[in-house]
Amino acid sequence: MSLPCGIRNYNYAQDMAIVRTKTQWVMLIGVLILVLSFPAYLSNYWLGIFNIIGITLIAALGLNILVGYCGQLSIGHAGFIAVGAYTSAILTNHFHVPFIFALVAAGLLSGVIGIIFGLPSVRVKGFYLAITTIAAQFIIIWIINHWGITGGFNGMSVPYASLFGFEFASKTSQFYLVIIITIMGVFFAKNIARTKVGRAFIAIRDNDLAAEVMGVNLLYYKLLAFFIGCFFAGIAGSLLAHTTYTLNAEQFSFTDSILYVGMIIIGGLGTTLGPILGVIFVVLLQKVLLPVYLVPFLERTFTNFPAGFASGVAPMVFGLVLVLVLVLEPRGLSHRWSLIKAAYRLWPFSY
Amino acid sequence: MFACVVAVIGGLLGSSIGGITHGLVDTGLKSFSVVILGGLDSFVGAMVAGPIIGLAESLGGGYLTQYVWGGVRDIIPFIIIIIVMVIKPYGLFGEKRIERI
Repeated sequence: MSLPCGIRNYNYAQDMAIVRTKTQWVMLIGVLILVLSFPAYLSNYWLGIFNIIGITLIAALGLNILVGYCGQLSIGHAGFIAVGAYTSAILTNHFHVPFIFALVAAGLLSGVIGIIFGLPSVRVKGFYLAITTIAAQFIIIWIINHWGITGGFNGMSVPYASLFGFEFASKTSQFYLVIIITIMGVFFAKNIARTKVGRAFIAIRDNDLAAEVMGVNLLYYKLLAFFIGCFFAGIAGSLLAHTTYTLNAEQFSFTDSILYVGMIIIGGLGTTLGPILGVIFVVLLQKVLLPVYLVPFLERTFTNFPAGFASGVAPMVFGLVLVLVLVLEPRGLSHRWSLIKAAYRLWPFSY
Repeated sequence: MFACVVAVIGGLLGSSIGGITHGLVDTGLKSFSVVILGGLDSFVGAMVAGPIIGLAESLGGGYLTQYVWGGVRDIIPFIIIIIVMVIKPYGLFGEKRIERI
């Protein structure tokens, strides 16, 4: 938490401020205006991409609290997102609950399921816990596939989100719904890291025995981390269900779970900026750059290769880029960003 | 390297029974349940736990399907993982690690 040169804190209010200087305020408001005015000049396709980015970001923020701050590795995040999505879908579809209550209920139920599967974290950690969460992923998806109320393998259709009679059917309205909840999520995640809870999480991540000796209640805080992480996942799942119109267990595969962990590692574990950069990077790479630009380019360039060549290369390029980012930037994109900021502040001096 | 060689032998035997798809990845995930039940650092554990998991999967798949939904066979190893984690985290023969600060 470094301040720009020449800026000092003179009272507690300044010390507590998230946005400290006038320049930061101007930049924050500028970025917010830029983001909120996207629908004015972007096509529906790009709004759809930004909806996916926002929803993925909410899930990644939760995973960042769980993995980045509390150090409890979870490779079952897509399963918890599925719990939220199906809870919300069933509540609105079968019981005609208003969307806003279904959203909260999805978060809460997902959090409770997270607590149940997080219980082993009290006794085991690291590799063992990762395997437990893999088990959670497969058990949740199996239940969804076989329980009659969820529509099974056929999936189910979900009504669009509606609030006070207004239906979020167009991409533009969905964009505002998603982006507002995303901004609230980022703010909450930023704040939770600065409170007593966040400090307890960081103590547990660094050494849980030492944290317990210092008086941190391990059971309470580990399960709280699971609850908060999976609450975010549930909210993301609910939004996903109500913006894509159809729901299928295929959308929540084991690969997605690993990819969520990949996103926050690429962005930078245990930072607020990390998940944002990581999610934007990975989603743009996976959904736009490879299928829309790289594959047609390869097909045009290498015409004498067999037909499936280009679409087969795309996943390999995706994996290669992820590996390269981790090799060149082991502490994540957000660390590079802070280096750039430090260099800018000290320029023209090198230290 | 030894790990990969042993894994290849397992893969050869497995594919000679069932045929090759990339669904074999699931076999790798299920083998986690064997090492977890046996204990991560124990060969005896893996030898004992392998048949236990295999039998539990087959018999459970056979007998439980009429009581619960179909396809229960595929998640029995994962349910075993959860149970072992809660009751006996270091497995049947695993060494219990003592931590120092």
